[in-house]
Amino acid sequence: MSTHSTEDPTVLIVDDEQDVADLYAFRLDDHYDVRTAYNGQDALAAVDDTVDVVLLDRRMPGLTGDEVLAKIRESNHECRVIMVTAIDPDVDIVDMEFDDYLCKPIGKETLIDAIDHQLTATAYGDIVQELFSATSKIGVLEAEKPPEELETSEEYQRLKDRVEELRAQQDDLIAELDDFEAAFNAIDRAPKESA
Amino acid sequence: MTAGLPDSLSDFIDEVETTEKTLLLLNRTEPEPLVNLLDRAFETQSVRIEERHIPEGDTDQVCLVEDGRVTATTSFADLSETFLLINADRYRTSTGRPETGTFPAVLTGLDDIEFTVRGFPESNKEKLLLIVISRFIEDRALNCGRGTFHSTFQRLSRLDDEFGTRRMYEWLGESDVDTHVYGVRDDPGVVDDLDVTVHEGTTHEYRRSWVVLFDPDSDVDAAGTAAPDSTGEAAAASAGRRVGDACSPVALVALETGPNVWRSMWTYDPERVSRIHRYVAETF
Repeated sequence: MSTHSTEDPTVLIVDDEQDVADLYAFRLDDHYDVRTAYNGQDALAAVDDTVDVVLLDRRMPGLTGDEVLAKIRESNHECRVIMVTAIDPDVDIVDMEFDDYLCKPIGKETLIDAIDHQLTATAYGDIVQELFSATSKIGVLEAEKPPEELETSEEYQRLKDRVEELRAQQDDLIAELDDFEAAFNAIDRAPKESA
Repeated sequence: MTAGLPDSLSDFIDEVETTEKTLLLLNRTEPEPLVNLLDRAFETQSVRIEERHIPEGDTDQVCLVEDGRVTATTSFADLSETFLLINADRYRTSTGRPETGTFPAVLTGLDDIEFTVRGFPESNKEKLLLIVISRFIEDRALNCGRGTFHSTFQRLSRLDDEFGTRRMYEWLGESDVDTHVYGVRDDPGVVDDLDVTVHEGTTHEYRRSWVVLFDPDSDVDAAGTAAPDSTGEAAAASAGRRVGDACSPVALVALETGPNVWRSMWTYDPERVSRIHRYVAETF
C-alpha cells in the first residue's frame, strides 16, 4: 500500500467500520507504518512488540474497545493506546488504562498530533506516561462535563491529586516537560460545541 | 381541508408518494473509503448516490438533486463530520447544543421518502439518520421558542438513558414550547422533575413508535380545522424555508417493525404535520 522506511513508527488502527479504519489509514500512511484491524479479536492478534501506537474504537460488536484495552494491558506489550470514540466520556474513564482519548469526528492533524505525543511520551518513561494519561482524562472530562458536576466527582478529584503527585516526582524534568505538556493539552480531543 | 385521520401511524408512511432523490458527489478529491461510507449509509434505501466531475466547479461538494434540480448543497467535509465519521453515541451522549451546520441540508432535505433503517451492529449509519433528524426537530423547536412539540419514546426511561437526551428535554421544558413526551412508564420518577407534559400508555403504538413533531403555529384544536398554512401555496413556500426558518412545521414518524428495524419518513408538509399532530393528540 505504501512506501515507508522500516524506521517509521507502527500504528494499528482498530475500527469495526472498515471504511473509517481505511480512511484513517489513508490519512496516516505518509507518516507511519499503518496496519488495520476491523474487530477486537483481529486487533489482539495484530498487537505485537512492533506496534507503537494503537488507535482503538470504543464501540464494536463482539470484543469492545474497552475489553481490547484491558487485554492489551494484561499482555506484556508496551504499546500506547489512544481511544477513538463517539462516546463522550463519563467519569468511568478515570480507571481505564488508556493513554489518550479522542472524540469523533477527528481531523487528520489531531490524529497525527496525538500519535506523535504518544511516541514522545514513550521515550520519557513510565511516570511521564502516567502523567499524560491522567492529563488526557482531565482534559477530555473538562471539555465534556459541566464544572459543577466535576467539582463533586471523587474520581475527578483523585485524578487531579495524582497529577500533582506525578509532577512533583518529575521535578528534574519539569521545565522540559512544561512545553510538551502544554502542546499535549492543546490537542483537540472533543469537537467544539457551544455550551 | 380537514382530511380524515388514518387508522394507524404506519398509514402516514404508506401515503408518502416517494419522490426520486439523488445525492450527487461533485469533483471529489477525498479518498475512496469516504465514498464507501456514503454508499453504505444509503445502500438499502431509495436514495441514489452518484458521482460526477465538472470542470471549474468547487471540489468535494454533495448536492441533493430532486427532479433534475439541485435543492441543497453540503460540503463533503461537513457531511463527514456530522454524519459519516461519527455514530449514534455522539448524539446520545453529547452535552452541548449543536452548532449551526450540525444538520446537513442534504440530509434534512430527504423528506417525504420512506426509509427502513437498521440499528447497530447491523448498520452503523442507517439509524443515525433518524437520530440526526430527531435532534434537528428538537433543535428547531428550541430555536423557534413557541408552538407545540411532541416526542414518543417507547419507554420513558429512554429519556434518561443518556445525559445528552435528558439535557435537551430540560431545555425544551424550560422554554415556552409546549412540550409533550409519551411512553410506557417503566421508571417512575425519571420524567417528574422535567417541566414537560408526560403521557403514559401501553398500547402497541406507545411501545413501538418514534414520533418527533414540531408544530409552531397551532394548538391541537386549531390543527384539525383551521390550519391557515395548509394551502398548496404555503406548502410550496415551506419547501423553500425548510432550512432557514425555525418556525415551520416538521414531523418524523417511525415504527419499529422488527428488532431494531424502523420504518420511517419525515415531512415538512404543513397539512400532513397537522394531521400527524392531531393523530397523536387524539390516539395517544
